[in-house]
Amino acid sequence: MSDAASTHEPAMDQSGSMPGIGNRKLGMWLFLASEILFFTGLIGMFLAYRGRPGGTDFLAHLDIPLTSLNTFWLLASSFTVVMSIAAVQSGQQNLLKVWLLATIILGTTFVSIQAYEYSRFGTEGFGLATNAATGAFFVLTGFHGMHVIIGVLWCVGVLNRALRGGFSQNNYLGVELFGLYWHFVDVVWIILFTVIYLLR
Amino acid sequence: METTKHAKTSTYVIVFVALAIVTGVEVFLGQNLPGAAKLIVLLALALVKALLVAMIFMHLKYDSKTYRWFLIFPIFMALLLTVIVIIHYSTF
Repeated sequence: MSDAASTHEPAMDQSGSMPGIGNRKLGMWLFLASEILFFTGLIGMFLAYRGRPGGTDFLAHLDIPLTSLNTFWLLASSFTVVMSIAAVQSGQQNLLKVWLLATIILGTTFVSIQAYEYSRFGTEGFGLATNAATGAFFVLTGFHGMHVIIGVLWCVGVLNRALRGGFSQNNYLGVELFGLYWHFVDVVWIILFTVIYLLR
Repeated sequence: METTKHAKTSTYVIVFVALAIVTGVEVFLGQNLPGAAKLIVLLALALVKALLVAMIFMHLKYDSKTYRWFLIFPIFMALLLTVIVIIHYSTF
């Protein structure tokens, strides 16, 4: 893969009223700004309820090694996404498809491990309605998992378009907008992993 | 026409390796540091990781600086709300 710094033309986005600012990219950033506040509310709820009766007992059951591995998969998926953008920027269509496929596999792996973690909690007697702390945990991580699932489905759509030759060196905003969303989901998990699992 | 620079692919590799290493350090410190130090160090490391992803992977370092405000303002509001919750509920 080319190691040279690459450039792209922002003209591929609809021109906004500000130079260098595209309407669709601006819209994505506004959406992400609203998502920050959405997850802040959920994190606040978790912080408020984690110390309620039963919370400490539940938090002691969290599997740190398994979740650390899962965190690695999500970080790796952020890497594959940014490499897919680098691939399309340098005109390497086949690499674009490979990196997008790798992202789908890593995202699906993350969600699968999260589903396994949920099922194990179920067998240990912890559910959404067990107590306030478990409720806050499942709502917070569940909404994040839902975002990952949406991201995987979005990535399937981006890959489908890439397979039909829908992107080029001067037309890859679709990959870039998906990338912004995916990286945001990764950033949220970086915070959740620390707040929920490491600071228990 | 205005162009936007992006990072070298080697930079992406370095950032990914750094993220993986810092995550390993976080897990180790999470099990070995005492309470107050753990809170400060782990939040600082999480902030470093989040900034790396935002600045390099999300291209905030290379794109128009206007986009940064869409991250800075909500994060300021988020920190404000989180600090209030922590103080009110004495959660740590």
